Amino acid sequence: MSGRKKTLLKVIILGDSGVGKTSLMQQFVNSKFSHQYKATIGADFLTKEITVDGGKQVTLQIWDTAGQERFQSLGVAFYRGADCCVLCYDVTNEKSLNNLASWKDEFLIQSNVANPADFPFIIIGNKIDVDESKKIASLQKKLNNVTSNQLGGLNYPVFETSARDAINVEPAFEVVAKMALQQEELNEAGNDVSDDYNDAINIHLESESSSCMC
Amino acid sequence: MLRENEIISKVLLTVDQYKGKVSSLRTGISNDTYLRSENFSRLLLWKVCLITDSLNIQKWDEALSASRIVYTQILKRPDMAIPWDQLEPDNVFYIPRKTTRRETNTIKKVINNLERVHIDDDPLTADNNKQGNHSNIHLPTDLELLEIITLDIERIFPGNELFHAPTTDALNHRRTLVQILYIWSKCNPSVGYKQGLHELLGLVYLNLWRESIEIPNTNTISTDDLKILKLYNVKYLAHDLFSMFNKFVMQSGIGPKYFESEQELFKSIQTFDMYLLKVDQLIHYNLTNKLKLESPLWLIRYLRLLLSRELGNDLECVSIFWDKLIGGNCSTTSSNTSGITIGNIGIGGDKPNGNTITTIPDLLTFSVIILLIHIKTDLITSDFSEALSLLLHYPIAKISGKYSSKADFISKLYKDAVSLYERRDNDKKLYEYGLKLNTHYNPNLKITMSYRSSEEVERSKEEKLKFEKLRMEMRLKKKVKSMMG
Repeated sequence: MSGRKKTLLKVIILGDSGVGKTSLMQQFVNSKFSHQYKATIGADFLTKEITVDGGKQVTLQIWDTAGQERFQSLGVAFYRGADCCVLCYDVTNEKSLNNLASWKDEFLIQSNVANPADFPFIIIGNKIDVDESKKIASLQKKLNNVTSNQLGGLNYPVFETSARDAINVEPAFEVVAKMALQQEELNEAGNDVSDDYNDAINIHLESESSSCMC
Repeated sequence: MLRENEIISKVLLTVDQYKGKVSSLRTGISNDTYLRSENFSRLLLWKVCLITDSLNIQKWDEALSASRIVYTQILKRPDMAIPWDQLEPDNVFYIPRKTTRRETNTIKKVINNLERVHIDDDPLTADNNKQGNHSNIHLPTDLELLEIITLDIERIFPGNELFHAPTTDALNHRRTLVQILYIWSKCNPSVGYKQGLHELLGLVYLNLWRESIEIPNTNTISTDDLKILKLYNVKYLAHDLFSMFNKFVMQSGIGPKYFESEQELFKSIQTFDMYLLKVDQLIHYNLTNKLKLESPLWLIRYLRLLLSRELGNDLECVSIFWDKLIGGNCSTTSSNTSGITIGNIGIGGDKPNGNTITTIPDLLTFSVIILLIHIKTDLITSDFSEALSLLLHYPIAKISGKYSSKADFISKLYKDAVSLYERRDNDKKLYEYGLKLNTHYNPNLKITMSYRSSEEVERSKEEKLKFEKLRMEMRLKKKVKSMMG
């Protein structure tokens, strides 16, 4: 039995309803895109094992959330222990871009992370496959306003993706994994999860006959 | 006339079989005789339970008219006009102001009709005053509300032909859903529109549409037959749907408990946790203490959608489950009707006879507990991620596949839920029934936790250790199996 602990990284995807959070998660985890996904109610959750640079095996635990409601107290359960937060907008929907800051605030309030100032966020602008004419007018400028605003700007890596055509989804999540891993290592000392297999050994010391569990 | 005649004969046979009594019909739902009868009509069942409240055909006419006029009147109100023309022009629901399509005409008529229709007993505005503590919540503008709803209706039941065929008909079906949700949300500002309501409405729509018919314009149908056919008239599908949805969501407590406010939703989740602790202490201990997997993470969807995602994608299973919830005769022995009064929308004649839909939230809670008992072994051998995945992607095919039919599975599920419901005020009985369920569904799982009243929550070290030991053995076994497999 190897003593190595599995590295589990918790990633939260936030953003307005309909920007494509579920599609991004599905594209990344299952490499598939369905024309339509049902609205997420509450939350959904998928995991994927990937290798981060340096050959380290990690399990990404990706949390997809509902975009319409913001829960005041229930949110804590969703965000607790997060290692990275993905803020999503839709490149055809200006409001969703402008709401990124409030999603970030929402996350920081609920998750109560120890290092809000340098907690890893990344920004994903989804649906770049759509027709140029539908995109937000002068998107780059508006995006710059959001990311490099002097006061509380969202100074984070930005990826433009298409969950539909699998453009840039993988690279974005590779960065997510890297950033999440750094955050996790930062927190590791204070965050020791009990190890099932150690429990098992202790219990087996005073083992008696066991019944069949098949 | 074939379809009309078929409907008429079905209805007459049903009324005859149940002696014109709703209570007998409800018994026929609880014991499956009506559900499995070849005369079964879901439309009849749901409309009788949610509109006419009577199985006396003579009373339908009045009840339906009273119910339908509410929506007709609301449609005429200028403040209920739907701003289709303010949507982005590339939104499929966009209608420019000057087209002459039927919908726009209706709207224009409404806009031009400056005389506001006053409805004294408008049941939908009765609740408006009790939302004092919501003043800090940003109410969406009319356009925002419409946009949110269209966004969700565009992705309702993906792949469903009725809603998503590339035809004007399909678009019109979706537009009707948008319209009802929009108006309903404006009439119920304390709840407003929340995601999930669209699928509740959509499922009712699908089921009613299937059986609705156009009433032929001939004089060959007798007055009595017309009274029957009136129930099935597709022309009033939206009207009936509006009333039914309102009653189904508001009077049952679904809206107030699961959608209206986060506090109420939180309370419902706590109620679930409390009952789970009483019925199956081991599952509760495993999720709450061992895995620290909090119920809100998965339970919100179970509750808000009344299990419609968990019971499978084909919607048949969940429709049968709703037949039971809406039409079953689970009686509220204790007077626990919530204080929601929404006037008497569509109630014509008969008083609700104690078999009310207010039992739905509790029955739902107990049904979820049964679903957990079905997957108990898997839950116990899972780590946090595995357990949460299992709960968010409930393995319904595996579970219902053990039964001869979906209807059979739902029938047992409901029966078990009712048995728990009847014991809801007695902790000891809930615990004992939980043991009974486990003997039945998990015969190989030979571990229990001793009975505890809700006051003494802390478990003995010995008991915890026994559980940990079993859990580890099972997990190791599972691991070995997967490595060999």
